[in-house]
Amino acid sequence: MDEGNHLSPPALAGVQLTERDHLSRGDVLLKGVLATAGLYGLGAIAPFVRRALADSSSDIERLNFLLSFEYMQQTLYTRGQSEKNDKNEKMPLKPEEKKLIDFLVTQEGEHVAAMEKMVKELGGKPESRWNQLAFSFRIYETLLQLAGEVETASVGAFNGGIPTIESKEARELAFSIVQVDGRHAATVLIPQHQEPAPEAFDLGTDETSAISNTEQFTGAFAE
Amino acid sequence: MTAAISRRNFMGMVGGSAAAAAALSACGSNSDAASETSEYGDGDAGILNFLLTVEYVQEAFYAELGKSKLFTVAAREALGKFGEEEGEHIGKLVGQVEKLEAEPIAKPKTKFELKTEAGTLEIASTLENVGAAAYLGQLPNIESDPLLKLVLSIHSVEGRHGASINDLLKKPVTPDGPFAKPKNVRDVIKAMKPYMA
Repeated sequence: MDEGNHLSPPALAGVQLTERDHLSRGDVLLKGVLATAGLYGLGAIAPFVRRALADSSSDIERLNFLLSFEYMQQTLYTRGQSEKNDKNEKMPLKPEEKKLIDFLVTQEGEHVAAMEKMVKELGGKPESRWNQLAFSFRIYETLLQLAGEVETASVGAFNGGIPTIESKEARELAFSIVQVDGRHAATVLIPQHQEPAPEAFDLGTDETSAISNTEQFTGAFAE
Repeated sequence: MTAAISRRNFMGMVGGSAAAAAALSACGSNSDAASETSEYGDGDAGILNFLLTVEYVQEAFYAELGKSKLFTVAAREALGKFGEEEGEHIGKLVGQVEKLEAEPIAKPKTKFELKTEAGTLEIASTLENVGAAAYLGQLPNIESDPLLKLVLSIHSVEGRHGASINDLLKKPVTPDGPFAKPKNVRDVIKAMKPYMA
């Protein structure tokens, strides 16, 4: 994970936020954070206006958009790896559970590193579209459920975004990563008694839909 | 399949023999993604026909498995869901080949010796993981954007299938590590040849 991403202590009761320093273009409302807070009966939260929906007019922007999903996955699994839930309470993992989370953290970290390197090679600066990430889970089973949602959203974002990438090298990297994210999705769905491949086709999503699919974690609302 | 799959249920269905299966290398080659699909047709039609061949072999395997006495009925149904999805892939690929005014390739003759549950899952692992690598190998060669979107949507599902079968076998769900590796036509056909009559 890049140095801009770190785990914060619970900023709000029931919601642990992960702040990120850098943003892209396009204003969005972090309504997901508000929704999460509402779910847990929290008080007023300052509305954030952040930028998630960028004008992806270059490969750098397009890759940064997809990189944002890798940051999201890495952040979620790092949270799980800490063995603390969203209330900062201990959430000890069984050895098999820890092994799975460690595996996912490692592989998502490899994806992040490779995509950051690619963005730099294209002359850009790696950055996330999300200002912050919020994952609400009390127990391992909920963490896995969120993992299923995040991995599935990521596969959709990649499958939708890859055709817009012009760089051959960047495309090939994304091809390789999306297969592995599909494998991750299946791997986290199986222990949840879910079908590992619920649909015959992993349809691509456009940026607006991809942002909407994850707004409960990012608070980013595609206007 | 109507019931959701769980690893616990699935493992219960297939029994311990599967987990003890001898390891077969699903992705034994790190060959590059050079495309040699001209014998399957021109351009995108050739690529789709090559991938269609892969899908036909996979579908035939699941059909054979469905007829076998291996596994419980529930397990056969669970695995059969993957076969149904291969059938959907075939339908789409055939339709796209026809749209390109080309001839969809004929179904290859197949042969499967499904003697043990573990051995059967090993074949499934090979077919699914090689299938995913075959798609990955062809993705860079596709010229049409709509076809690229279709093939992408199938590619990650093949990855899901491969990971699921490997999970049952207690093999790595990402056999190539964090970055999936492609296979070229020659290596894909070589891996599938034992199952093509």
